[in-house]
Amino acid sequence: MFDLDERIRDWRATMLASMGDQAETVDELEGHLREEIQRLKRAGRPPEEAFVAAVARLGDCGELAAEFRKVPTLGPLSWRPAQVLLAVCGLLTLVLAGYVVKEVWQGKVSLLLASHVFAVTVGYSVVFAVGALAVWSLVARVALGWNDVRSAALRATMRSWTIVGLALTTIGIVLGAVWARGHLGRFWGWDVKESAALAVLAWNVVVLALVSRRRADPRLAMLIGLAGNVVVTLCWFGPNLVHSGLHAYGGVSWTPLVGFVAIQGLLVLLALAPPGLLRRVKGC
Amino acid sequence: MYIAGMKLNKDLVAASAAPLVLSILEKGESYGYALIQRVRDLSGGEIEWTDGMLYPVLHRLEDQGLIESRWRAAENGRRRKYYAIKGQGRKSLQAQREQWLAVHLTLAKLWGV
Repeated sequence: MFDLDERIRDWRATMLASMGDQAETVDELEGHLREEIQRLKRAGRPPEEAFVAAVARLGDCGELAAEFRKVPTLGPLSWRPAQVLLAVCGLLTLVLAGYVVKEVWQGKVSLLLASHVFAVTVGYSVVFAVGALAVWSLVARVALGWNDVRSAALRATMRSWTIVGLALTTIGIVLGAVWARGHLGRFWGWDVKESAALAVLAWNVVVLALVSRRRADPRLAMLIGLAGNVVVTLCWFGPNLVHSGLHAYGGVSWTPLVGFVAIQGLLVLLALAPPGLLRRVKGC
Repeated sequence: MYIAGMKLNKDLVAASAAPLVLSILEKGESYGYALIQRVRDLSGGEIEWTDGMLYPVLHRLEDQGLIESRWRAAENGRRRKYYAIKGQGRKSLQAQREQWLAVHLTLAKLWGV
């Protein structure tokens, strides 16, 4: 017995396998397929014939996927929001580098310790940059709408930036351990901030695994970015509040930290709004 | 004007896809399936696209900033992606219109039609 819905589901699964992370595009093609099937059925064709004819008209899955791959995609260096953030982060990194070089030059801090601080600071900041991109994406999705091109650009950018963050954090941790061996007589002491650095490292690995998943809801990448803001905030500034161990400096108040985390929680609500909501409201 | 059953050259079909889509959208927003039907009706069946090949064209035009899209609920209860031309798209269409007309007029003179 011919089951039209089952055959359409099989077709959809084949298309998704060919198209990768373009679920929205497959939705569009499926809509087209269904309309063509309905037209052929209204013209008197039996469901099975209508399905076969409609699929043939739509085109071979592999050829279609190949055509879509030719459509230019946006990446970390070509996506405008990523370009802007990269420019801002690049500028801040240069300022930090200048400050660190000055401190080393003036003999206030050793090159080893300065390199550790620089690597960890930039490594952690990359997670914040990913978070900033996620916030932009959540807002843009509600204000302008969202599509597969932006989803792919967001995932590609998050992947490449997270790799950089992971590398820098790892280098920073290793440099810190070498410094600790020379000055404290041990590589690792499970200090609060040292342990938090491991948590940031682990978080980067989790992010890489999650954003590499194809066909995931685009909002997942955005929420991961927000979660990264919380993780790094707690791991970077939280230990300063503990006032113990090697990195017990600061006297930072809890309020800004809690406030920042609360804002991330509110931003999660944007993920629940339908895409293009503000555009539709303006058009009413 | 057209010989029945004539197949258009693939390159010609590909080159004409963007101006055809932009010209139809200039009249009002539409969606993929309706665009295919409109082209088929206007050409009397002479321009036959592999239906799916329209969508990379639409995505490319959107990526270039010439058209924009939004999902809306359709009469059948499913959601449907509608496309509309943007200001930049109208400017591009005007430029393409001039180019195609220049080619058409030159060939018409050469062929005495």
